[in-house]
Amino acid sequence: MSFFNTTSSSTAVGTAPAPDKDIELSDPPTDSISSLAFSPQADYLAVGSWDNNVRIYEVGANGQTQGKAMYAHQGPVLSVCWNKDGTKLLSGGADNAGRMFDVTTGQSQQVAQHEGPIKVVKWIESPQGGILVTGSWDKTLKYWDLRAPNPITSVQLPERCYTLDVAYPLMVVGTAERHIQIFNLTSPTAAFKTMVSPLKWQTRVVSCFPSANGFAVGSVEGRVAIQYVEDKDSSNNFSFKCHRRDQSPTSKDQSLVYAVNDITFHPVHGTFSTCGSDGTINFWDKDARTRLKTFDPAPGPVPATCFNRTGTIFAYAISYDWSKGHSGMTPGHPNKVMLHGCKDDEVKRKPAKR
Amino acid sequence: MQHQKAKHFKCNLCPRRLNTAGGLAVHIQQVHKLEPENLPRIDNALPGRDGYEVEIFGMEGIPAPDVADYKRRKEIELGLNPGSISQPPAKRPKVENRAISEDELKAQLEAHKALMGASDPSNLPASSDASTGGVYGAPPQAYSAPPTVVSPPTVGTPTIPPGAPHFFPPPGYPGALPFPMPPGMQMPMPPGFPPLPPMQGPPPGLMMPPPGLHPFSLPPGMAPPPFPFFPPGMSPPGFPPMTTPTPPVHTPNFVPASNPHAAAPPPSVQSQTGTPTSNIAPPELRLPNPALSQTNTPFKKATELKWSDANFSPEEHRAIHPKYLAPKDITNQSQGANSAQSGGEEFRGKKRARAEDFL
Repeated sequence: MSFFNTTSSSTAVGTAPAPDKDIELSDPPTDSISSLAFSPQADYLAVGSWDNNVRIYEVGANGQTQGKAMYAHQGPVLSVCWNKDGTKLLSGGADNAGRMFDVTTGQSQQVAQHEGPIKVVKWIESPQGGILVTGSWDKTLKYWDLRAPNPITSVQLPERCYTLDVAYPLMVVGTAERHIQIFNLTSPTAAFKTMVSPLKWQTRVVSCFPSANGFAVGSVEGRVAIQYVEDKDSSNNFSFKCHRRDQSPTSKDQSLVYAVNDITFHPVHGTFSTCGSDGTINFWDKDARTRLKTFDPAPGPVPATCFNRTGTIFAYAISYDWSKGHSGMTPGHPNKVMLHGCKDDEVKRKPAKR
Repeated sequence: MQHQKAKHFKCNLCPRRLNTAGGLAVHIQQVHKLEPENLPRIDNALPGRDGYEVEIFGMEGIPAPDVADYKRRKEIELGLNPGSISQPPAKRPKVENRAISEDELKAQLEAHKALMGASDPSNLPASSDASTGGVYGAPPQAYSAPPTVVSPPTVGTPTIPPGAPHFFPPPGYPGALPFPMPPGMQMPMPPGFPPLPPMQGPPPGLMMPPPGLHPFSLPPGMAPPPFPFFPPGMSPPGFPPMTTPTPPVHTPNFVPASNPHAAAPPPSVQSQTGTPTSNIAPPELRLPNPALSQTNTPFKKATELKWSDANFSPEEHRAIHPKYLAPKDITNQSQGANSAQSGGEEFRGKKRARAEDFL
């Protein structure tokens, strides 16, 4: 499978094999990257950053990248996502506002409002139409019909929303104090199930399987838990350690424990990636319970990752994730987005070992 | 003793295994009748140690330099202070009991007064014994070393509000602290403590930043003298490490025993007093529901958790940082143009033209 052969572009490079080196996005944001999202219709990558801006880049067939559009929030942008047909980009940030950018007109407008910073925005494509859901540190979830200024509904969460993911009809919300709420989006106003995270440390990220029967939870303690929603599948639940390093080259104690910053699932194969504050990225197969690929450590923490719609391009950001507080923000810290061409054996499932 | 027999002291001519180097030598000589000088070297031995002369049986008989090396290596692996295996930390403070001279008495009295803040002028002459010092934890140390101790206790104690129940036994808590301790890590004091975001540069010896803490206004009600807060019989072992200027940096776990003083209370401050009264402008992280405050569970083996604030995520800490914090009343109206924003507006204008034709 070749790398950038997904968009039929007029530039006639055609079937180039996946490059061995990852490609760096040109003109990255000026401050740390908070989130990445590929458009579901084309190879456009949206990048949200702590410099208050959202940028959209076009990723070309032979790996060239070009900035296409940019719009701003009044505070750092914490999350970006596209709607289903790729015409609108939604973003939320620390200015307590959610904005929508229409790519056809190039205009952005505010479409959501919270009492506290909006940490996650996600698009729900329900049979009744498209809805934006926003999760905020004000302990609420709000659903928005983009045409109206008021939310359709607001759902109270037990604590501040840290992370959220949707795979219709499953939605999973991870909050502070390790609560996890599972929603069935056919009745979205109340949680279908509330549980405490199986991981004993602060929840950092939740991500739903594309098959919508379960989700993965990542914590600050270098651990990921795979959870199935149905109780009958709960025997398949398991967790594993990752993103740890040894204290020194000689001792194999794995005692430096880094946070898992993001988990993203491959849209086709159902395998997933994890990335951490230690700067490493891994690809895993949850059914075979094995690791498929380890990336070389990046020069800085990796706060966000994203697969494109076909799973051929994997984007990851390298920027400071505040894991050492303010003092870690050194002036020369790398701040970039890299694109990796996925090879088959990195993302395809392995036959399960029985 | 099986390792020595099996690995090192095998005869290569017959399947016999001996217990010691000397025994092997004798065996080869008698049974196989080889001359003593031509004996083959010991199998699998380190190059300088493969002779038959030095008799080592188990751990007995190891020559002194090798013993020292072994201890060094063990310490490095465990990451403790050099010397801590050979001389374990004193369980009780070593208190001298000797007749004190007139001048020393006076000096100690002064120190005592200083510690008591002159509010309790009861003199305790010649009370350098630990017995009379049993009421306060500090004075035994203070009396025996007046110059050095004054500052650290005041540093440590403000963070121990009515915290007797919160006093974690020193060995038991590594990892139980939400107080982030990784060596060299510059983290403002945990939420709830009078915020120190403006702190510039890591204070040396993170644990005991006496110079750094002084400028901060202690929460009201915790004015010095802090001594009344000391739970009676507060374990003195806490103190000797407290007085060391630079705590050991290599500990993978939060070993320095003085940690409980500094770190245990902040989460409990949070949960008990709710939002501490802070009159410093930069905002701080407040738990919406203090009753739900979390603490990290202790680790079974030495572990350094890179993000150890159980109550707040890295993004929350970052969002209150002055660089990112925007005025509180952000609503739909745009705020006064800050550079990022006006830059954004401009960009939007420029990019709009490009954006229009990009689909």
